[in-house]
Amino acid sequence: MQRYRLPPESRMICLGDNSGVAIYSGYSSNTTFLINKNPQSSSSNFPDISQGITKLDLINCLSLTEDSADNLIQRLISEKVFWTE
Amino acid sequence: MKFTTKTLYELLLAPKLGLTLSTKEWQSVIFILRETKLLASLYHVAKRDGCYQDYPDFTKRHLYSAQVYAKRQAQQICFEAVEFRLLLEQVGITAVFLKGAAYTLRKSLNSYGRVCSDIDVLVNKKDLNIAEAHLKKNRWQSEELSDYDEKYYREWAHEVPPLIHVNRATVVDMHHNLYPPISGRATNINQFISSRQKTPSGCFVLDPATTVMHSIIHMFANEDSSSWMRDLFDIMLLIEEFASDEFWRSLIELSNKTDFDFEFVSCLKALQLYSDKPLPDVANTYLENYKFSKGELWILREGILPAICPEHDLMLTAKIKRAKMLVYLRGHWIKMPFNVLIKHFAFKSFFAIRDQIMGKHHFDPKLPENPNW
Amino acid sequence: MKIIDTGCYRFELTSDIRHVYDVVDSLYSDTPNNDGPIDFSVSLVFESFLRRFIKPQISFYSDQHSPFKPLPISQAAAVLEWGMNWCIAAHEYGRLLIHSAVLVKNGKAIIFPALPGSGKSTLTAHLGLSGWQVYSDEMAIIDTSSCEVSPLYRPVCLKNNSIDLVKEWHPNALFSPICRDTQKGDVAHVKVSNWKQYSTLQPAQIVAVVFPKYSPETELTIYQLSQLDAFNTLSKNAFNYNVLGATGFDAVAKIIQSSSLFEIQYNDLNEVNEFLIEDIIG
Repeated sequence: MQRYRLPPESRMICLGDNSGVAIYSGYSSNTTFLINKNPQSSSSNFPDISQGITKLDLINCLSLTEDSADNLIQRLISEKVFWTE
Repeated sequence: MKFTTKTLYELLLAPKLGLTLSTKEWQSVIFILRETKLLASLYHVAKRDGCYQDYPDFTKRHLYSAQVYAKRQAQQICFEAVEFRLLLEQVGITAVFLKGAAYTLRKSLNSYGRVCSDIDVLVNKKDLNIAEAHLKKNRWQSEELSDYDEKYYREWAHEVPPLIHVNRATVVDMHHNLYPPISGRATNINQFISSRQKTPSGCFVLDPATTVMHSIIHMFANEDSSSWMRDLFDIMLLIEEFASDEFWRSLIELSNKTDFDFEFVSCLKALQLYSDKPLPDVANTYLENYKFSKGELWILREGILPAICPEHDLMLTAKIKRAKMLVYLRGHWIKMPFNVLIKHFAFKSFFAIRDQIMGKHHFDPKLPENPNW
Repeated sequence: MKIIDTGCYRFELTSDIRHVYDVVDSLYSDTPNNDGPIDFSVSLVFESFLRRFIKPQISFYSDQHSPFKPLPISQAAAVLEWGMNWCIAAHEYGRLLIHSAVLVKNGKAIIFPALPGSGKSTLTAHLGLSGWQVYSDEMAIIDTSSCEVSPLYRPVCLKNNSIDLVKEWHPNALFSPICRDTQKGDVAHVKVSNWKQYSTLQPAQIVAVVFPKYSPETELTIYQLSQLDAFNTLSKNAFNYNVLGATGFDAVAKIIQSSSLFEIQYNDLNEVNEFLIEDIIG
């Protein structure tokens, strides 16, 4: 599965109450918030971001469908939050 | 203790001297360096020399805070520069980054802790219109200017009016030359642009000698001496870093070729006066062979050298105020032909008199309303 | 010339208007005299000769620069307090600064971000005069590694109706004279502690973030807030979040993950007081 990299100095946390994900971009210095619309059903076990992020990680953390995960990834790439390897 | 330009440079060049200052003296140093934007630079040189930890807590608090701000600004400059480069690459134009942005992109010694308010870039004159149009299609805009200011930029200066990013409010000054062509002393621009070097970010900057020559022209041919303390400190650190014989040979060659040899020798004189490091022989020889006119010696002694002083009330004596005024007059004088100059001053003094009577803020659209917390 | 000691920052004031010195005396005169260094030199000046006589206006200067437009002379004392806030917010990047009130009890700190319509200052003044310790009315000063909040020695700034309300509830409290202005509304400052009390205060751990909303028709209603919403709102209410970069992100993340997060609607401050004591301070 494709892994997406975060620019150096970035941060990404999956919030403990499953409400979503917060990402700090080491490239633009912007913070992006991604909401989890179904906090009951997701797991908050978030991967080590130094290994890169996969679509499955986002699906698990944000209770996304395959399609919405694809859209989200495209958006994050266009905003340069994710870098493709 | 009363601080002078010389003692402040001594502190910046040998920050261990700070260990002997009382907190009251530090208070003055912090106010002055805050004004001249050198607080964060002092943080870095003090760290380098291992004396930062032994400074008083009061001092550390202010230096540390200034350093955080400068670091974040450097990060923003790197981001903006890459975005700007990518945008102009879409229309096949290469931008060369100048001054503060270039120091940061190259990570030269003087870039640590340095803050700057805008990003300067250089493009070929033939590319200027395409670049400006493409930027304006991509969220860069310029403020509406009065007719006078618009004319000033387009006809007399060497840049387009400042471009401001709609979302981020970043300001870019796009130049097509390094000095106003109207002065009749414009530099050979092709030579400058062809000297460019690529930094790891993919952004271009000028090569070392050209960088320093530009810093010298920008400082010593400028009518505004408010940032001279910082500008000369830049030059001190740059020549310390680039130091090689090759560098000095190129620098001297540039000085001859570009018709800015008086600015160059002014800089050497300033370094002799304020720096703790001796000039290399080749620079001393150049200085000895330079034939100063009486007028040049006078403006150096009465204007240029004393004007390298922070514009802070704790520093400004009558002599320094006069020096800054002389530099102001000379800066305009050498930039503009006489008839243009008279018009320019007429405008400037009209505004100055109006502002004195009514209060400057009355007409200044840029200041925010009171935040009313 | 006068020294204003706010505990964390020392100011040196010069004012063209004499009565500002009297106001400063009434609010800060119990601070100790020492000749320590000054962080900011501030002044209130008439902008021009003519302006002294026609619709006189006063400008605030931080050292040599004026950060905002001049205001009518009637606002001078308020302009000083606002200007002092500006000095801190524009120069402090060593710590996270959140635009909020901070109230502390039993060493536990609650921060109340300053959203419009929150009634934050009335709440701060009332609770501060009812047994809570006010660490700040305007800004939480937070250490980015320990996430503890430090106390600031400042009065609480009240506007319009809340001046009369707080006077009615606390008739013995010390108020500065009211700055009257038809456009901006009335402003007055109230002293909520003395230096002796202040000097015993220690940095305190943040245990809760409460977003208050004053709603005259609604009895106390409490909502649990998600960490994501709290993160978003807190970061947007921090003066220097953008400057602190990754450090700011880490600090806000730590605060929201270790605090209770509430949004409350209220029309009675005594109910708020009970809720805070019972459900948060415990």
